[in-house]
Amino acid sequence: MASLSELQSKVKGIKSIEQVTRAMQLVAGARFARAQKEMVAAGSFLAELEGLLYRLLHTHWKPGKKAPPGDRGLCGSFNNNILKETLAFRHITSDKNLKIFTVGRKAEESLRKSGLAVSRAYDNIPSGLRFDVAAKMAEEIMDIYSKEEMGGFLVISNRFHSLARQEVEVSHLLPVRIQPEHKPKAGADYLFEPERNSLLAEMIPCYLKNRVYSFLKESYAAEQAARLVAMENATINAGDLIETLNLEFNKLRQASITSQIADIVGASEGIK
Amino acid sequence: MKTISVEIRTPEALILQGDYESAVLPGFEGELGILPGHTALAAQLKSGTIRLKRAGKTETCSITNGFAEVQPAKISILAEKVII
Repeated sequence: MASLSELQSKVKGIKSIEQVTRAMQLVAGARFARAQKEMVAAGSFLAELEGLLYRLLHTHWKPGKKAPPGDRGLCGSFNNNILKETLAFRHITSDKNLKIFTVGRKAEESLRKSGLAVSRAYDNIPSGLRFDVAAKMAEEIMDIYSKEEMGGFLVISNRFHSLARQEVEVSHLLPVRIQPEHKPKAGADYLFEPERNSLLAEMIPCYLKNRVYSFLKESYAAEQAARLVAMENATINAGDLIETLNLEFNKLRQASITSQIADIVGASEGIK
Repeated sequence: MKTISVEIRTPEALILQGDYESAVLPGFEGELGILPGHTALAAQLKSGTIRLKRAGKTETCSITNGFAEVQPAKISILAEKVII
């Protein structure tokens, strides 16, 4: 059985851990609230744009070249599920030209560790990511896509469903497929300014930039949500542990007091 | 007076939402004046000023690059940046 002082220092240690996890929980909570707001804003902008594109096209966009399913992955920022999904994807694609782009330090580190070559790593993404940063990323992706005649570009990212549920999903970025979640009614005939094709040529890059932005925002919100839940659990566990240890500590203290009293009583009996 | 609802969004936020009597947008090929009941129009916008009128007052805001979708009862503006 542990000694009194050992138990005491254990409790002290766990208490300080609890403080840290509670602080992290609060921080994640605050960040999550902001991230969620930004995610919703990015999402609704994207939905508007997507809806407009959809209405303008009436039918699905047909890419000029028939493309095999994607052979690139853009990784979302945080957890193991992303890594798993990426590795699984690596196994099912036979394409030797697979190139992997990562966003965030963790994604790059873990992919390199598992022996995958990362062709482009975006890190030092500020937590309050601005649209410009995402736009630059999207421009780079479009550039490589058209220059190297890649077959497609997939995004493996964490999608936010609720505070308790974030799921990894693979989505198509390129070639462009306009499939809004809520299909709007195909609109009446539109006037175009400038004419239809040049307007679409302007809108599609804008659409892609916003998709990248929206992916990043969503992944960030999902990350904060995951952290919030994890830290909440850790804080609860620490509390439980402290309770058990305190109980043990009190039992031990009582036992030692009892034995001390027994000693004193014994000694005084002896003197009589 | 008839009004048309106007929404201005950037990727980062919904900037403005309200009903107006008329709107002037910086269209790519020249200014676009929009009144309620305008026919459906999809337009590219260049950097410039949006002027919105209601109750005899004009509100303005500046945008950089964007798109506008006009429907008879609604104008939806999607811009990269908006300064009010």
